[in-house]
Amino acid sequence: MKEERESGMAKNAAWLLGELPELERAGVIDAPTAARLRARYADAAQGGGALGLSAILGALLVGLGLILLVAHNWDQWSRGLRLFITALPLAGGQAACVYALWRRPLSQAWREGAAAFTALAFAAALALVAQIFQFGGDLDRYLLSCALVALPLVYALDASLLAVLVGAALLGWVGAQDGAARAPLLVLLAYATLLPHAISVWRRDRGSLRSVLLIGWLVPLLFAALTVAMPWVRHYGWLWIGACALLLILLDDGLGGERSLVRRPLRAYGELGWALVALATTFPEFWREHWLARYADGALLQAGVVLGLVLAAAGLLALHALWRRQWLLAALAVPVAALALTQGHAPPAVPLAVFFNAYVLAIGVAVIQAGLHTRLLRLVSSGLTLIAVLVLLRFFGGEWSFVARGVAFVATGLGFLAAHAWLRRKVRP
Amino acid sequence: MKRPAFAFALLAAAAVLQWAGPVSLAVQSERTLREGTRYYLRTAPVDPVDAFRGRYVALSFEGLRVAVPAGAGLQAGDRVCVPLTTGPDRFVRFGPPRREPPAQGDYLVARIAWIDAAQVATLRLPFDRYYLEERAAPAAERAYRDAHRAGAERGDAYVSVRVRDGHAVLEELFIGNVPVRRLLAAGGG
Repeated sequence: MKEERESGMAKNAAWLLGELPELERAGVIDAPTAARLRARYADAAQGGGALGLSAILGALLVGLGLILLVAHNWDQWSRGLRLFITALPLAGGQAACVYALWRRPLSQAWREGAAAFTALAFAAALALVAQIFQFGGDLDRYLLSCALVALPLVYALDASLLAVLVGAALLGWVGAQDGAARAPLLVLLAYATLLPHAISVWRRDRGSLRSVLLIGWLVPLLFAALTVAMPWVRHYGWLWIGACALLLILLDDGLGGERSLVRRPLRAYGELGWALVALATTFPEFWREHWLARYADGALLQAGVVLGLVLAAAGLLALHALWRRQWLLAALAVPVAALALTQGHAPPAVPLAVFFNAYVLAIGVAVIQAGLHTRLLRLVSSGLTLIAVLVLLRFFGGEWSFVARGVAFVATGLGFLAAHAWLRRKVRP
Repeated sequence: MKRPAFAFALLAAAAVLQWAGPVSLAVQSERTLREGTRYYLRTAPVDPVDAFRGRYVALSFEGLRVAVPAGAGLQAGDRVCVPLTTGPDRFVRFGPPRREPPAQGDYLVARIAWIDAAQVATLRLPFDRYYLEERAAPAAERAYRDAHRAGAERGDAYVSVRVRDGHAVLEELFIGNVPVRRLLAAGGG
């Protein structure tokens, strides 16, 4: 009884939290009231989430266990008996889906659990038929079949866990394919089938655990699948990572919201990828030896349609940021632009490295300033972290002479002291 | 769940797909096993594992290299119809691959793995593994190795396949002319 009451309370709390943005927009409640309600009911909603999570995890584990039981191969049983037994979980899963849709349409645990279990029961059934009749390898076709057949369930039951499983199966499909059969545009198309679900969940539950996990898993799965599907893109690794990271940051900015980084997976992945590329560009060796120059033959178009699309989308969004005078956001495009423009050339390594050291430092300072301006601690610590990593790389790195590093550190330190004095004067009432 | 009718329609579509695939495969394969013509293919088994479908012995067949007819315009990855005949040693012989089924005689649908400069294609058959109970598969490989070490010919490991209208289903794996399950039950390997 207590469990049911808690579950009901959690469901109501989750519903109320979901309604708050709309109530706020409609002017029914003001922002402080909405914040107080969020604080009051957040714990209750999470309790329900934990209950639901355990039910979903249970269904997932049972489904995976079924696949392992099938894999044992009970070949002492007749073909008919084995086919009958394997059909039972699938029939049971489908019945659970109908029940979830009919009787428990508001229970996320029922919908997610039934959908994931049914998809895994189908995978087990298909595996058993292949096993009984000794079908050949073709793991790629098997995984693609499982993914495509599960898609209607994702939408029928609004099932995000299944969407992640489909994303993982699609990655497995690409990985298991022959190199010659991999088609990046087909991979994009396959993942695009999950896009309406991701957008729908994000719109309804922006910042919720569900939407964060869904996007937090699908983005790296898509990135990994595209990277696997395009062997040549590894030769353009830094440009590929930089372009994807920039696109994620700009997309996240366009989508808005000022939640913590943990609740903004696009931003989190984007900032991590951007920082990796930007910090790499501060090494002279990067420009001297990096593999772009070795593999590229000067034609960026040869990097393929997908890389071109990602670059074009990121470029357009960066221009849009520029047009809207979002200087900091637009400035994040500089490393990717430099990488794109130096394709196939032997760029001047030392001047570029010096420039990017100054650039990363400037971005760090600008981020801190933006954090102070908007009173967002996350931004301040991001900027500080970026500068700290840059300082550590330069202090311990041996690519510059002691004298050059010493002069640069002293000059930068004096610059910081001057900036501090200037800020104190400005802040003082 | 604002559109339950749409959701139910999607659910129905999913259910149809989920049954259609396995059932059609099972029915077609069962019919081939009952009504198909039997052929024998020489092979060598080794024992790998598939995370989804369990442990199996992978089969490496002989005689998969066939000349591509001039002007056939075939490429690696193409789906082809391969005519089948039985040789004097009772094992199968593969004919020249074509896109269309032959006017008469049995054939199986295979894929071209690659074609070399001399226009000789290597076929990829629709069966390349024989699933066994998880402890039996390594034992089957051991049985094959033991038979091989004892001086048996490679032809002592072979499979029987049933073929009907281009659809082929692997029926049995033999080691030393004994079905592998019977061999393992008798303590071989």
